[in-house]
Amino acid sequence: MQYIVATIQGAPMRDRFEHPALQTLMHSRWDDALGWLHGASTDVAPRWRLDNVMASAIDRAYVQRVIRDLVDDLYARGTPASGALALAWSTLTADPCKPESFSFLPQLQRAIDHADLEADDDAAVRERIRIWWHAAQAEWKGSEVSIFRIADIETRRDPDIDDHDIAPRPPLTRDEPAPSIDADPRRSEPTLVVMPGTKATKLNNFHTQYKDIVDAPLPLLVVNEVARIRATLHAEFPHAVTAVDLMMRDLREGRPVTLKPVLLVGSPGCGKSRLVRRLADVLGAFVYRYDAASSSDSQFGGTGKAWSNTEPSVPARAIAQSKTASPIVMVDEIDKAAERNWNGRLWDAMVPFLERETASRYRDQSLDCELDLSMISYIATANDVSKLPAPLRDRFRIVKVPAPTLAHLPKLAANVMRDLAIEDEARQHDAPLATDELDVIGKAWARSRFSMRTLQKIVAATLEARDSYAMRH
Amino acid sequence: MMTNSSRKKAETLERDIDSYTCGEVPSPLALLQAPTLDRWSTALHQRGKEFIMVLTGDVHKHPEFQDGDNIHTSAVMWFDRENRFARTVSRLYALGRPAAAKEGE
Repeated sequence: MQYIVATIQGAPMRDRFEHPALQTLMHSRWDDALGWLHGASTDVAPRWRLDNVMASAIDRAYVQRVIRDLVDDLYARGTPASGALALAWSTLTADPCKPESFSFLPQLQRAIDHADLEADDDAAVRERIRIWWHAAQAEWKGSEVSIFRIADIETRRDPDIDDHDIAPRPPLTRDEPAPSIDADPRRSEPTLVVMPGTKATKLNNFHTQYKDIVDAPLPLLVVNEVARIRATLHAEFPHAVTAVDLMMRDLREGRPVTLKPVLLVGSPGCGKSRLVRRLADVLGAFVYRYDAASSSDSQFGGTGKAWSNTEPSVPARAIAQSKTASPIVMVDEIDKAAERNWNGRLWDAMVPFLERETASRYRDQSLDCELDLSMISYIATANDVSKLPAPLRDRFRIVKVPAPTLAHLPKLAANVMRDLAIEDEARQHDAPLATDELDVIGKAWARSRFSMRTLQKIVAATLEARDSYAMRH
Repeated sequence: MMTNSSRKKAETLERDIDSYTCGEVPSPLALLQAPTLDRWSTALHQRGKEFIMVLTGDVHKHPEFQDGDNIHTSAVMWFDRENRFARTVSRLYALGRPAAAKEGE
C-alpha cells in the first residue's frame, strides 16, 4: 500500500513551535488560528466541545463564550498539555476593543521566555507578541479586525529590505544605544560585553581569570521592586532616610542597576559602610570593597603589563570576580588614602572611572584591552571631604549620612537585636528591650557619640547581663 | 549574585506557574493568607523591547507595606482568567474589587 502525504498549499507554516500557544500566535488570521487549534486539540479536548466551537464560529460574540467554556474544560483536565492548549485557546478570546481581554499575556510571555526556540523563531514570535502587548494598551481600540490580522500586518516587511533587517544582530556591544535592551526575566536578560575580543591583546598567565569574559555578554543586574528596597532600607536606617533616597535616586524599576558615583560622608560609626552593604544585599548586587586607607599608590587603576606582578584595575577585578557587568565598587574611607604623589595617588587614579564616557572605553594597562566599565557603580565613604581634590569631589554626588540620635534608638536597637538573633539561635526568643534597658543603653551610647558599632556592642552586653541576671533566679 | 533565598524564590515561582498551567488554583487558605489588592488595575511597562504587566492597588496583609498603601507590584507572571488572583515574581496576590472602570466603559 502506498501513502501519499499531501501538503496543503498555503498552509500557514510548519509546526515549528512545540507550545501550541506560540504556534497559534504565529497565524495571520483568527480563522486560521481556530482551524489549526481545532486540529491540534482533537486528542485532548472532547469532540463535542470542539464541534460546538466550529458550529458557532460565525457568531463572534457567542463563540467567545463557547471558547471560554472550552478553556475551563481544558484547565480542568489538569495536565501540562491540556493547560498549554487552554492558553492557546485563550488567545482566540483576545479582542483589540477590550484591552482587558489580553489578561493572559503574562503567562503567554512567560511561555515564550521559557521555550527553547531557534533564534529566528524566537525573534519572530517575540515580534508578534509585542504587537499583542500594544493591543493590550488599547492601541487598536475600535479596530474591526482581529489581533491576529493586526499582528500580521504590523510585523510584515517589505521583502526587499527583509534580508538586512532580520539578519541576526550581534550581542550588545557598546555601539548599540544603551544596555536598555531586553530586560525580560530569563531568556534575554540585559547583558553587556565588557571585554570585546577585537579590542584585546593576548592575555598572559596572570590573566587566566579574564579569559572567560573576553567577548562574553555579562549579565546586568536589573532593579526589582524599588519600593520594597526603599522601605527595607528606611526601616533599617531611620536616621538616614534622606541619604537612602539620594543614593537610590537613579534606580528605576526594571532597568539595570547604575548609580552615579556617590560619596557618603558622616562621622565614624554612623553606618555608612553598612548602608552600602545593605543596599547591595537588597539589590542582589556584588560589592567589591577597596580599602582606601591602605592604598598608597595608583594601584586602583592597575599596574602595567610589563611588570612581572601585573594586576588589572580594581573595577576590572570586580567584574571578573562577580561575572557581572554591573558590580558595585565600594571605596571605603577615601579620605584616608595617602596624599603624597609618589607612585601616583588613588585620588587621581579613580577619576577616569567616574566619568561614564571615559569608563565605557577604559584601556586597562594590565590586560591591555579596552573595557566597557560604564555600568559599574561607585560608592565611596569618608569622614571628611575637605581634603579630597576638587576634580574628584566634583565627580561624586556627596550624600551626608547624619549620625543617629536618641530618637532613633528604639528602632535601631530592635534592628540590632534582630541581627543578633540571626547570628545566634539562642537569641531568637529574647524579649524586646524594656524602657529602662533602653534608658541605660541610651546613656552609654551617647558617651560613644552615637556610633552604630558601639550600639551593637552595648545591646549585646545588655542582653548578656540580662541572661546572667536571669540565671541566678 | 544568586543567594539561596532568591534561588528558592525562583523555584517556588516555577512550581506555582506549573501548577496553574495544570489548572490548579491557589487553595482558599493560601488566598486568605496572601496579600490582597483592592481597587486594583493593571498597568503595562516596557522593559527594553519586552513588556511586563504590573498591578497597582491598595494592599492589605502585605509583609512589607502598611495596610491601605497604594502599591505597584513586581512583574505579573500569571494572571488568573477570572481575576481571582495574580502571581507576581515575588508573591501571590488575592485580587479584590477592581478599580472603577475607566471612561466610557
